[in-house]
Amino acid sequence: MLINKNTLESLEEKDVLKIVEKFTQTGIDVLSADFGFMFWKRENQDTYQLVYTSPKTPYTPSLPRKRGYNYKASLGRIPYFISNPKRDLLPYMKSLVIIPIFYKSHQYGNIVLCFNKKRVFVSEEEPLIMTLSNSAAQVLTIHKNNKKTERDSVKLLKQKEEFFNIVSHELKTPVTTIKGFSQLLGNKIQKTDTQTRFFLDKIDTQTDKLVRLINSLLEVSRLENGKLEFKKCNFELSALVKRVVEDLNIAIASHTISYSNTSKFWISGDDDRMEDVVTNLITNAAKYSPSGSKIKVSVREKSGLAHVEIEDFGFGILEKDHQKVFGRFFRSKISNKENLPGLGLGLYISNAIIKYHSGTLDFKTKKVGMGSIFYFSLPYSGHKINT
Amino acid sequence: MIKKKMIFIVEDDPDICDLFKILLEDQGFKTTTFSDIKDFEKEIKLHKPDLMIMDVYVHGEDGASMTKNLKNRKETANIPIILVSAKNSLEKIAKESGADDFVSKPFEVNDLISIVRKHLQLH
Repeated sequence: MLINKNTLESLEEKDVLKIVEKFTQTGIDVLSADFGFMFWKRENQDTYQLVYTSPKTPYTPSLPRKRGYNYKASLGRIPYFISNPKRDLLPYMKSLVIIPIFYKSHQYGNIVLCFNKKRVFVSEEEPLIMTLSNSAAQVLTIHKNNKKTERDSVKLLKQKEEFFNIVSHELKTPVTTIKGFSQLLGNKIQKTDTQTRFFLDKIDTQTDKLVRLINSLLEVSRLENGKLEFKKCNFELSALVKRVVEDLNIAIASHTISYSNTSKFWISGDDDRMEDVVTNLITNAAKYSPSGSKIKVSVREKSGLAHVEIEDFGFGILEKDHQKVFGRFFRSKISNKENLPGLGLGLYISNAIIKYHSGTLDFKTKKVGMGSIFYFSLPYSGHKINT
Repeated sequence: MIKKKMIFIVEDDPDICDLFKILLEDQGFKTTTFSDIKDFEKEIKLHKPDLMIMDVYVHGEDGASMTKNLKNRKETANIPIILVSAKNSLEKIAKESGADDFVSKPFEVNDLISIVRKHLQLH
């Protein structure tokens, strides 16, 4: 078979010139032509441009003339075999084949195969050349469609990002006003008016939560566009985890968070984003475990990597959900409980952050109802065992 | 009597503009607000404030470019400018425009006050 399916597929990603080169060369090989070239038809015009000449082409082919052989072949839409031209075209072109490349009514151009000596064409060669012509047209069409799909998806991603940017800006403006004025009011009330202060604190906490949700959505949009920004610095992981645990022990009054570490690890990457990951894993542990239960956080060396574990004694994760945990908008449903707050983006973003640091984030669940352990491992540049 | 420090506020959202105004006047500053960058441009030629708070986008106009411009002019180069925006890349924008500081929206009112006081050397 002249062009097999694999050839077609392998050509899909290459650019047009490569495709043209491949098919011209195949034509040369099949008919034992001496050289060949291709005229590309300009979009919506009746003119051509020379896009490819094979290595042994002895001259620069002049562009097709009106009423010349190329125009005749284009009109007929089938290969045009000229074994005995009316006049010598050029000293080194005694016979030629012009192969129009058509897909439906669209003409890509003509492949021209040339012979230094007069050549007689046999009828068996015609279907062979037709196959070449059809294959070239198909491959060029697949390529064109792929390019269009690629362009469309880039455009769509860009529109999506713009949309997220506008939405986040538009949402943050009213939030700024609510937060600002409630704090301003807080500054004006009497210190003794504890009830009003309590109400204002509620407004403040909820607006902060709203901002975090808006930022998460924005982060996901950036992540999907490959535009999530990371800073580069060196930080010590156990100190970072310890700091987060200390802060969260104050913020999360419902749980006791313990911390242990055996080593210090120097990591190269973005410490703010790493802090986000640890915060996310611990707040998740608190969210999905009963009030009053413990959360154990540890940092140690395991299989040559820095290993951080967050263990809770909560509801665990149902087996049917295991595959979805790191997906977008995944939120675990707990039996007999309403959905817990959140967009289900924390683990999705955390996973991307850990991957960026060449690490892995995973979890194991003990029996359902006994809790889960979320852990991540990271390569480190420096290491020191605690003494 | 001590002369009150003057702060120019360039911000197109009327509520946020009010917030800045009330907040800063409560702290004993004088303020003039601009919701249009062209009005601000006219005024800055006539009067020089002690500090400016500039939104990154003011009705489609670029507050960051305006900041760069002001920092390149001899007569305004030394007036502290605080850029404000809800954009996540604000720190980068502030650095590139030559602003003296930046405040991300939404902000803590006390943070804004202390940044303003810092640049007016009132600490």
